Amino acid sequence: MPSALTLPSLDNVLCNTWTQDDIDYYNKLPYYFVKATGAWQKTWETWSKLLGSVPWTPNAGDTLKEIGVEPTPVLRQQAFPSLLKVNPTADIVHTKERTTTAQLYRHRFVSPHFYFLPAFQDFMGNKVAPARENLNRMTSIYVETFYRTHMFHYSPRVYVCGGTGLLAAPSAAGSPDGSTGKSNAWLAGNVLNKNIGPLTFSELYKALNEFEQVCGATPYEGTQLPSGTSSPLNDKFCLVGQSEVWNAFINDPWVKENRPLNLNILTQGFYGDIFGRVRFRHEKYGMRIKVADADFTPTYPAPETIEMNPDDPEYLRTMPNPDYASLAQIGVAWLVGGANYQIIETGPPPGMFTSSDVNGIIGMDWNGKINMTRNFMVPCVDSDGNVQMEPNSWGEYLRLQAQVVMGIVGFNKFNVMPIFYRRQNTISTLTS
Amino acid sequence: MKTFMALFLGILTCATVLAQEYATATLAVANKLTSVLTTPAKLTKLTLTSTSANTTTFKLYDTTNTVTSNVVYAAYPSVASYPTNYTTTWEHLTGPDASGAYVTNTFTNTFTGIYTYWTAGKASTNERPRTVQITIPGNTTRAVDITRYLKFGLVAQASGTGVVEAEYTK
Repeated sequence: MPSALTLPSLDNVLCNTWTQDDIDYYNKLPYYFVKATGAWQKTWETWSKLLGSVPWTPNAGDTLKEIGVEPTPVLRQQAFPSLLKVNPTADIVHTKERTTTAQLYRHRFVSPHFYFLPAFQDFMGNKVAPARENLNRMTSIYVETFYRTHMFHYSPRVYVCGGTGLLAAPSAAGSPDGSTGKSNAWLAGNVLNKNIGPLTFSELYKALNEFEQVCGATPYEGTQLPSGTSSPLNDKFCLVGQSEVWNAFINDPWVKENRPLNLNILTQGFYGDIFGRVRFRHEKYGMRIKVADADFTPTYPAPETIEMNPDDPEYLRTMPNPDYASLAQIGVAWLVGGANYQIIETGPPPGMFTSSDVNGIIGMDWNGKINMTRNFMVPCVDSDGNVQMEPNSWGEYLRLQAQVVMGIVGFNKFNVMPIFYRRQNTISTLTS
Repeated sequence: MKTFMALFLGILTCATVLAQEYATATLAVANKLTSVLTTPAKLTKLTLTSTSANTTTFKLYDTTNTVTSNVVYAAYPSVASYPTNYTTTWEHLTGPDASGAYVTNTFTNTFTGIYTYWTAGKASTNERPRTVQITIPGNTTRAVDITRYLKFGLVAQASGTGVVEAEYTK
């Protein structure tokens, strides 16, 4: 066979030559593109369905002040009234008023500025739709996190599993640097330096009793708030926790000792209301704390991260953050009673700001609705090399944006109690 | 049924096999911090052996730090409360007396209330909380079933020489 054959070639003797076509001769695409969707656990709202609501009244100041009536305390365990024949004594009772205040907060969410060209020429042309879905998701998670953060720092008592039990706690606004509210220093010196145990049925029983007897917590009553089995949370408390808490119930010593035979923990898992008093609600992205060995200082690791190694098969995947998923030692669950906090329903912005005008300037929104806008300045470089800003008059860029105004007011802060527990992910045959 | 039993036994075996691990540390020098475990774990059993002639106190800490057993706390507020008297006084007009002047009738009610307050703590340096402290006679061994969920690891220190064996699960 000749080592090289020039094509076309005339008058060949076929038996003497082998004329295979060059496999790299023709044009071809380097990749075969298929659209795919990264899979992630769907987010569901937990807190917004467990809290009540109160409307905000515009044009009435920047602070909501709730005023409530407190009944007379019960001051006796024994009663000795006067005999009928003598002038009777009387109890003089009166009610009191107490107050709490709340203000509104605002946060914005913005996508990158999208240029028209990728949408015109690239395979994954529609960058906007996934960005919109993503913005929706992040807005929802942020608002849930805001409610939870507020309740964490304002809860007047916490429960620490493993022997410490109920603790009076600072009840004030938290801060990003951990200096106020349930500050890093307070957590290090009072909670995280303790022998913290897992959230077992025994702990939960004690926590429930302390929640009811010492904190004076009250159960949900006649509420329309839905529960996991679509019946109301009537006369029950709610335990809000991460799935690992629920999963661990089948390994609970008390459960293993007392479960009915038809509670098949081997293949069906745990189900039912705990002690008949507590209904469980799952929380996605629950609070987890990583404790420093040196001084017990807490950090709150980001729940998720991105794989950054270009050589890794999962390059750029949004995935659980090891610090959050594995290394954070402490988890926070919640015992929740009824009539606890109220989400402030702010209503729309002032009417004159909400309508769109003829120039296409969108109206103001603050309920998390995502707007698509081309109304912003874009940078350009002048002849001197200086960056100048000019209107997006060509309309070749767009972006998505949303903002949320939110507020929460806790008149009965005692009806929410964080529970600190040691995370555990193993199952064993040992009882402990 | 056979499949079910096999599955059950398989899980049981895995759980048992995965359950227990052991770590041993020899405390060759008295009062010296010695590492036993360097990972978070569930401690399930301790076997302490004193190789000293005297009574030996074992102190075990949840840490990986073998340099110091002290910890520095930043300043923080504490919340405390105490009982206090709550007194309420009302004055009621009861009407005119014989001279025509109005008189008042005063009621005073006192009961025990509670006063909750914040106190400002100062930064401090203290001994790290002990996970376990056990004292045993000299030249003896004691096995203790114990459950502790270690956040960091286990470091031991004893007043004499000895051996610490820890049984744990991860």
